[in-house]
Amino acid sequence: MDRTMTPVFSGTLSRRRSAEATIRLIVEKSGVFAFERFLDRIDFVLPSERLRLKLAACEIYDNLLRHAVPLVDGTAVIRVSRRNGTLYVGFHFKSPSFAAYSLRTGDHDPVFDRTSRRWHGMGLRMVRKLSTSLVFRAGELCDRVFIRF
Amino acid sequence: MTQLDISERQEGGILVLSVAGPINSYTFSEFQEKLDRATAKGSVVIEMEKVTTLSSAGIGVIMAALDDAETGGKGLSILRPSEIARLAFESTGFIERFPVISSLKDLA
Repeated sequence: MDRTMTPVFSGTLSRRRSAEATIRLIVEKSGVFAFERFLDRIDFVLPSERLRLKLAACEIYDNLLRHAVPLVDGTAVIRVSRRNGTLYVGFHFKSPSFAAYSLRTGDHDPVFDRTSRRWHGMGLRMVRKLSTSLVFRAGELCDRVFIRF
Repeated sequence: MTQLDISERQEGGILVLSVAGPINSYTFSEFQEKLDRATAKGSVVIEMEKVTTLSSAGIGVIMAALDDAETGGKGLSILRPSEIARLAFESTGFIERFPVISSLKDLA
């Protein structure tokens, strides 16, 4: 069963200067496929931006899975927008563990953990190289991650 | 749901692991299991031209396999990565660590 809620696409599509696409997702492992489909369907993303958007946004989705779940209502609202020609992605959610995690999201060198055979910090490094800015904001009512391309 | 398709073939005495589909947070453990099984047999070439996305978890699997191959005196190469896979490798800042080839003849 696809548990994705219906995505909404809106904006001044004729000029492509201002447009927006939003999805509310239940953040769970299998949700990454619905998220990838949502990103693939956004028509105001330029060909030169599409691969960077997909890689960077999916890394942040993975980041939420590993460091922010369980979310307060289990879902995140993810908004891809173009404003004044610049592409943005915003993740909006509430997690009890995000404030502490956001303090550890500085630009550090990735570290390889031989036991788990996983890199720690590699995903954030990739997002930073694929985008022009990455911002984590923990809030009382809502936590946010913003990527600007 | 989008599946990851991984198949093995022998080509000119080389074990080629052909990967198609997304290597993401959901599929990377399957990729890890099949890559580990393949590298246990000897040198491996990972064919990646049909990879539709590649996450840091998938890259971690490849980097761990590269380390293992180096330690065990085996070879591990990446054949024809798709545009998105190539971009993922570049975005790590370690592109030089990934032995990318465009043809199996490059191994000769």
